[in-house]
Amino acid sequence: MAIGAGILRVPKEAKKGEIIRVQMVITHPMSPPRKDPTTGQEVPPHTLTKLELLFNNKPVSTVNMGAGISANPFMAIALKVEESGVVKIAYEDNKGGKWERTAEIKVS
Amino acid sequence: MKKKAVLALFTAGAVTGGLLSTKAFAQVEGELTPEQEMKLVQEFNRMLAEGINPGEVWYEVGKDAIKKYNLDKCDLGLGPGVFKGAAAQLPRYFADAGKVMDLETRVGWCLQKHAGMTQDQVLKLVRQCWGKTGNCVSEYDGIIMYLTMESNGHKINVNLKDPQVKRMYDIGRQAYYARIGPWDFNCATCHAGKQEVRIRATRLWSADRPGEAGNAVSIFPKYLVRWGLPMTMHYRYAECMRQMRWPEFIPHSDLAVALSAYLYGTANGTEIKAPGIGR
Amino acid sequence: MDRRKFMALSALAVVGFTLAPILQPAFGSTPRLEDELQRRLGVRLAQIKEVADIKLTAPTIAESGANVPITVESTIPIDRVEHLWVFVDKNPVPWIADVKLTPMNGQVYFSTRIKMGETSNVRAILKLKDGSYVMATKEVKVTAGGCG
Repeated sequence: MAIGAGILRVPKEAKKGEIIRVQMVITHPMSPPRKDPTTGQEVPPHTLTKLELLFNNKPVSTVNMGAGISANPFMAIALKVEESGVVKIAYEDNKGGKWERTAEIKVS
Repeated sequence: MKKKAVLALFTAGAVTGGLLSTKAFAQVEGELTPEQEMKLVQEFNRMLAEGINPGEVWYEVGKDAIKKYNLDKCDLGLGPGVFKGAAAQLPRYFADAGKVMDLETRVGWCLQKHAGMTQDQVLKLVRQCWGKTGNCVSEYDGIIMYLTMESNGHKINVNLKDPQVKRMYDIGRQAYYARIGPWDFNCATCHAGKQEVRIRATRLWSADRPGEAGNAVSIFPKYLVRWGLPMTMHYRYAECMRQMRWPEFIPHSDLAVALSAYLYGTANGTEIKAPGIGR
Repeated sequence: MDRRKFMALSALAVVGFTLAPILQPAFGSTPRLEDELQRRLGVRLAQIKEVADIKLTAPTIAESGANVPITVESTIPIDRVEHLWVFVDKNPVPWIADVKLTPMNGQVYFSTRIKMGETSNVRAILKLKDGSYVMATKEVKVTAGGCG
């Protein structure tokens, strides 16, 4: 458990047509390029670059980001739910890391 | 210094950065009264607390680590593996160890007893992320986060009627008010008295004002946004003592237990709400 | 830094402090921001209209630039909106993030925590379906915090 792990949170239940908040936290350093203070060597950046939000496998939003987002990023996005289903986030970083998380929501 | 490195990176182009922040600083000082600035800092802290606290990620880390290190056998005072509400009644006296222990000291004791670790190995685990920023996820921080969050909603209930606990409470109180080190400093210099003490726009809590010690300790481990990790109580003690130029703090020491007995004893009745979040 | 350099810098600082309000009006742009806007949006700041129906919530004072909470909301109907950008004028890289929005969002809403190197304007810019750009701006003062 380290980089890329996280929490995806949606309400357990919602009314049809309700706009909910999809909240997430992902563990990631989000470090900018920098010089190592002891060796003086260039350390490349390590950041999440892209996050996709899907609902029942239909694309909802794509977030592009870089080192301007804080370490262990928190994000919240709106989602209008018309049916029960699975909220999914798929995200990747600039070192080839790829992760996915899902959460279920019951809509009535 | 490492902790400041992150910010320093963003003020690259030092001269320009320096100029602009000097200007910003002057503006803040010039335009706002201290009361206004304090209110705005409180607003910042309130906004920080919205959404998901990244510290909650450590709960899952701890859940796994408890299995890995055999801590389901650990008895926090309510029986082996009984963790709901257990942290809320610590520190307490443990007959098997023959002493009073707080949560972290007890976890250290359990790691030695149930995971076969030496004291040195335990201390190494405790300090794994000390002084680090960015992305340090330690199993120890996870264990403490998990065990504390299992007491969320429970009221702190340290048994001060137990003479052993009361003795540690008294020692802790003495340590809290002891002026030692080259700067003649103590915890009470900042966190005691009826009179308000401020550092810049932050109003410091006082052990002598009702409820404030409770508000301060009930949110530990506290996620610190500037380091990107949760700070446990013993890490907090270590940092305070380093800043006060006291001798080096040893986690799980009797001094730690005594301070916890005093602080959590003073905090009796406050609901545990971990993790907190702050700058 | 030697003493002479320090004095020179101090003098500069005084000049900078005195002139800064004239050189940098509150809503003025920076070259870095203009570069980023040109590259990512293809427009200049002056072409983006400041509107009241975008709400950008951010603290007036941030005691840590490492983690500044921001929230962008808008009452502009979601099917009129295409994309959202967040910029911090004075960051080494002013572009923070951008979000492709669809009617499935139901509403323009994006909340996150961002890094700020110093006191600066934060901007939330929306690209509308008609090709126009609108924005909300908020200044966040980054200060040093208390004890740590």
